[in-house]
Amino acid sequence: MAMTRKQQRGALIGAGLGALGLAAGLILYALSDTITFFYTPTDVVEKGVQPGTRFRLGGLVADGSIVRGQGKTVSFTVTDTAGTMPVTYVGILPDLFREGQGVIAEGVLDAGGSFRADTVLAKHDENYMPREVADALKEKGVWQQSDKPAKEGTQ
Amino acid sequence: MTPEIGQFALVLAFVTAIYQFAVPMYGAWRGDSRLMAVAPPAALLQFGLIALSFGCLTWSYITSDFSVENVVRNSHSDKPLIYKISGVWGNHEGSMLLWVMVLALFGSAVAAFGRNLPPSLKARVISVQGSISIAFLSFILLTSNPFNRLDPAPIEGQGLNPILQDPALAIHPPLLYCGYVGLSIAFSFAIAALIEGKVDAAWARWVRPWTLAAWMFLTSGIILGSWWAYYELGWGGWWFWDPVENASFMPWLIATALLHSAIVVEKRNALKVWTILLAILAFSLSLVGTFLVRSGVLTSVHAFAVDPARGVYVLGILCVFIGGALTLYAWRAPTIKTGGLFAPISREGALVVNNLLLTAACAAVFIGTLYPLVLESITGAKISVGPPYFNLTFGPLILPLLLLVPVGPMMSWKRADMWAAIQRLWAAAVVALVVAVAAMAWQWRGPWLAPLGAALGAWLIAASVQEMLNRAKFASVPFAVALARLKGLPGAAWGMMIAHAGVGVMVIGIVGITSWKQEIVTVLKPGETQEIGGRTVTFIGENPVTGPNYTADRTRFRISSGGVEVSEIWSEKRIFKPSNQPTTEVGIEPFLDGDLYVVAGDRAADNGRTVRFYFHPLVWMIWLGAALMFLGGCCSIFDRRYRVGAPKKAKIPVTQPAE
Amino acid sequence: MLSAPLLSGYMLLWISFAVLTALVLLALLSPLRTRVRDEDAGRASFDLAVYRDQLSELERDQKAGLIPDSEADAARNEVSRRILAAQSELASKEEVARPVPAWLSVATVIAVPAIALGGYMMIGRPDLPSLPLQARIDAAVANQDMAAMVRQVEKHLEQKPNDARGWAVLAPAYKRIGRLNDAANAYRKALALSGPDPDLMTDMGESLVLANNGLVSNEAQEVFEAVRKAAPKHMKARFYLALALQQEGKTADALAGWNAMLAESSPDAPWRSAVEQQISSAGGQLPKGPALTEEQIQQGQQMSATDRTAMIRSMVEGLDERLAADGSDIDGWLRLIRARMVLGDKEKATDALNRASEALKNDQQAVTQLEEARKALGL
Repeated sequence: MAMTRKQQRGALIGAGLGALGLAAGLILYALSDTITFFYTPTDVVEKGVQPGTRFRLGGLVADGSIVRGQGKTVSFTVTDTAGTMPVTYVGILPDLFREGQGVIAEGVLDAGGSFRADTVLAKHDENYMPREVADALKEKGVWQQSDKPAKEGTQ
Repeated sequence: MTPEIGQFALVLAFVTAIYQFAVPMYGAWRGDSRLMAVAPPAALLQFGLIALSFGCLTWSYITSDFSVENVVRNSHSDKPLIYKISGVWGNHEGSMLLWVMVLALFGSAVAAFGRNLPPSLKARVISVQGSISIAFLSFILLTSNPFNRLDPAPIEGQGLNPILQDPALAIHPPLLYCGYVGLSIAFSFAIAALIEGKVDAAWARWVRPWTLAAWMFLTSGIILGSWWAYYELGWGGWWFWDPVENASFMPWLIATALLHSAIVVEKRNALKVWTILLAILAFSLSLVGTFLVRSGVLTSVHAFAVDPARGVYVLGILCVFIGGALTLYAWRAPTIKTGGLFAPISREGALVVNNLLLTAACAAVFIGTLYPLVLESITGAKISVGPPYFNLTFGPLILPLLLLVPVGPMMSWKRADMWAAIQRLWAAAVVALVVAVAAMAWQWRGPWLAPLGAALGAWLIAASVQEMLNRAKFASVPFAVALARLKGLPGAAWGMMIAHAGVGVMVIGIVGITSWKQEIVTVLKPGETQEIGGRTVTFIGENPVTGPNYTADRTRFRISSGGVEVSEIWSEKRIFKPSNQPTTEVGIEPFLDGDLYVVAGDRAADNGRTVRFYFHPLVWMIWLGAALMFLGGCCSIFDRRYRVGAPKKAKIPVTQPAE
Repeated sequence: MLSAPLLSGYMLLWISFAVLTALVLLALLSPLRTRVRDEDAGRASFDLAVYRDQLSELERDQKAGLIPDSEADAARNEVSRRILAAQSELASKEEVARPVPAWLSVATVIAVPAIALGGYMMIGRPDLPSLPLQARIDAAVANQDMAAMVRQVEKHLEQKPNDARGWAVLAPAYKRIGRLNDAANAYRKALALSGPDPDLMTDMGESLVLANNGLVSNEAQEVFEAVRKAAPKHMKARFYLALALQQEGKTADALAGWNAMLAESSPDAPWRSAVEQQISSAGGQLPKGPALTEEQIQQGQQMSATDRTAMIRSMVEGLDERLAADGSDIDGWLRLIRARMVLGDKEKATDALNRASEALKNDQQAVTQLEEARKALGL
C-alpha cells in the first residue's frame, strides 16, 4: 500500500494532531484536578479556605513555637507576621528547619482550624547571599556569616 | 595578576566570538572559501581563551585568592582541594563560565573533527556556535563577572554549603552542561541547514552522533543528580518532579526524539523538516532550563542566585535565539526538499509514533513546569504542580511508547507487517507474562498496576535480548557461528538493544520504588527493634563523632535477617564547622531485593530517637538502567559508519545503480 | 603591601595582555593569508562519500543476513539514485578563494585590541595583584598583621586542636579584631581543655556580652555566676553580674552589688572609675554605656551628672526623630530601645520596639533581632 506524498503528509499531520489532542486533554484534566495552591496564614483567613482543602502553607516558623517530644508528632506555628496558623506534622523535620526560618508545609486544613502537614520543606541551599550582607562585605572587606534565610517560603 | 589575566582572556574570547560569528557567515554568503577557512581556527582560539580564563579562576580557588569576590563567597581555605575545585562551578558565575567553556569546546570539536563536512556547512555551523558564545559571554561580562575583585581582600572565605560537598554533585553540573550545551551542535546544524535551504547526507550523519553524545551526558547528569538527591537529601525519593529536574528532563525527552528521527533522515532521507524542528526545540529547551535555573524565577527547593537583572538578560537571549530560530524555520523550512516515502506501518512510522509521544510527554512536562509561573504572573495566585499532575499526564503518554518500543525494531523500512512483527516477539511476551505472575506472588500488597509495570520492564528487556539472538541467528546456525555473528553486529544494533533493555531495567526499578516502598516513622530507644522489608533492625545506640570539618551524633543500627546478623549501618546528624549548618547523613544498606534506608531524626525522651525507615525495593535497577542506557549510547556512537573520512579529489568511480 | 614586586607585577600584567592580544591577532589573521587549495573537493563529493559508505554498509549487512535481500535491493536502489543525483551536481563548484578584502584585515587589527582593552578597562582591576592566601599570611606575619596571625594560630590549632594554650592565645586576638563570637568560642575551647579558670571564664563572659551589644545574656550570666561560686572575690565577674541585674530592671540589687565592690577594693583599683560611673548612672537614673557610642560616652564623662542626663536625653530624642524619618536602621532602633529602657521608660521602649517592627517588617533578620531584644528586655 504505497502512499502518495500527499497521503503521507496527511497521515503524519493526523497522527500529530491526535497526539496533540491526547496530550492537551490529559493536561487540561490534570490541571483542573491536581494542582495545589500556595497560601500564607493571612491568605487562609482572607480567602476563607475550607477545612479539608489541600494546599501549601508558607511563612516563617514562629519563634518559640516548636513543640517536640509528643512521640513522632511535632507542632509549630507558621506566621507571615500578620497572621499565624498552627501546624502539626508527623515525621522528621528537615535539617534546616529552624525558628524564624522560611518554611513550606503541604497538607490539609482540619476542622479545628489547624493545619495537618504531610510534607515540610525548608530551604535547601545556604549559598544564598542577601544583598545587604554582600554590600557589607564590600564595605568592610570582612566576610561575615549570615543566618538570614533565603525567604523562599514567603515569596 | 592571575585573575586579571583570566578577565582579559574572557574579554578576548568575546571579541574572538564576534569574529567567529561574522567572518565565516559573510564568507559562506559570498562563497569565499578563504573567509570560511577562518572558522575553525577562530573556534579553537575561542575555546583556548575561555579555557585559560577558567584555569585562572580555578587557580584563584586553589590558592584561596580572597581578592576575588567569587572565591570569597564560595570557598574557604579549609576545604579539601577537590571541593575547592568543584567550588568553581558550584555557584552562578563560575557555572556560567563552565557553560560557555563547554559551548566553545563543542564548537572547536566541530572545527577539529569536521573534515568530512562541506566547507560552507562547517563555516555556518561554527558561525552559529559563535553567535551563542557572543550572547553568553556578554551575559557573563555584564551581569555575572566571576573575576570581580575586592579591595581590601578579606582574610577568609565563606565555605561551600556542606550539603554540596559531595562527589556526585561535583561532577553533576559539568555533565549536565555537556548535555545541555552539546545540543547546541544540533541547533547550529539546524540553523545552518535552514540558511542553506538544504539538508545534506553529511548533515544527517553529523547530527546523530552529536545529539547522541549530548544525550549521553544529559542521561548521566540527570541520573547523578537523582542519585545524589536519593542518598543526600534523606527524603527517600529519587525523582520529585521539581522544576529544576524538569528543566533538564525536557531537553532529554526531545533529544531522545531527535536521536530517533535522525535515523530516519540518515537512512531514508525523510522527516528532514521535522528533525530540524526537533533540533531547534532541544536546544531551546536547554536555554529554557538555563533560564529557569539561573533567573531564580522558580520557587523551588533549589535556591540559587536570585537577581532579576540576570533573569531579564537570559530571557532576552532566550527570545532572540528561540524566536529567531523559529522565524527562520517558518520562512525557510518549506524550501527544503522532502525525501523518501513510507507507509504508516513501517519502521519510519514507528519512529514517528515514538517522536509524537515523546514530544507530547515533553509538552505535558513543559506546561506543568511553567503553568505556576505563568499563572502567578497573570493572576498572582501561587500554585504548585506536583507529582499527581505528572503521573496523570506523563504516565499515559509514556506507557504506550514503552509498550511499542520492542515492536519498532522488528518492522522493516518503508512498509511493514505489524502482525508479523508482533508474532516474532512471542517469547518476550511469555517472559513478560511470567514476570507479571511472579511479581504478583512476591508483592501482593502493592497497587494492581505494579505487576503490569514489572511485566512491561521485562517485555522491554526480553524483547531486546530476543532481537539480538534473532539477528545472530542462534536458532538456525551452529552456536559458534551465531556467537561470531553476534560479535560482528554493528555498534548501532548493540547500542539500541542495550539502551532499550536499560529502559526496561529502569522501569522495573521505578515500579519497585514507587509501588512497593515501605516507610515507617517511629521512636526507638537503644535496644529496641523495628521490622521492615522482611528484616529486623535494632537500634544499638549513639555516639559522638568528629569529622574533618564537622561534629556529629552517629546513630547505629544492626540489621538481622531470620535471626542472623547481616550488617550494621549508621545515620548521622552532622553540624558543619564554618557555618554551624546541620545536615543528615542517611544510612543505606543495599540488598538484592532493595535498599534498607535509615534516617535519624530528632532526639526523643529517654535516650530515644525519632527514626525514619524506608525499604526501597529494586532501586538499584534505576541506576543500572541508566548505566545501560549510557552504555548503549557508547556502543552506538562508536559505530563504524560515523567514521567516514573526508572525500578525496581522486577520481570518483561511477557506480551503476542496480535497477 | 609589597611595593617593589607589585610594580613589576603590574608591568608583567600589561606585557601578558599585549602578548595575548598579539597571539589572538595572529591566529585570526593567518588563515586569511594562507593559500586555500583550489583543488579542494566540491560540495557534492561530501554527499558521495556518505552514500558510498551506505552502499558498502548495505553490502555488509546483506552478507551477514541482517536484512532480507528484497529490503537490501530496495535500499540500494534508493542510495544509487541519490548517488546519481549527487554526481550530476559534482560539476558545479560553488566556492572559490577570492582575495581577502583589505578592510577586513585592517578592521580586525584595529577592532580586536580596541574592544578587548575597552571592555577590560570597564570591568578589570589591573591595579590589584593576586593575593593567594599563603603568600598573604607569610607577608602579614612579617608585618605583624593581627588578622593574619590569627589565621596562623588557627592553622596551628587545626593540626593540634587540643592545645589549650593556643586557644587561650587565639581568643583575645579574636576579641581585638572584633570577631566576638569566635572569641567566646575560643575561650570555651580553652576552658574545656584546661578546666575551669576564673579569668578565662570571665573573659569568655565578657566576649559574649560584647557580642550581644552590651546585653548580658543568660549564658553569660551563668558563666559569671559560676565564677562567683568558684572565686567570690573576682571583681570583673561581679561587675557584670550587677550589670545583668540592672538590665533586668533590678536597679537596687545592681547598686548593692557595685557598692559592695567599692567597699572591698582599694582606692587605687583600676576598675574603680568604671564601677563609680555605673553607680552614678544607675543611682541618678542615668543611662549606662553600651547604649551609646564610645565617643559620646567620653564626652559625657567630662560633664556633671545633670548635664550628662540632659545630653543623653537630647541625643536619644534626636535618634528617635531620625528613626521616625528613616526607619531602616536596625542598629539605631536597637540602640534607641535599650536607651529608653535604661532611662527607665518602659512605655517608650515598647513604643519604639513596635515602631521598629512596623518599619522593618520586611527585613527578616531585623525582625529576628527585634524579637530577641523584646525577649531580653522583657517587653
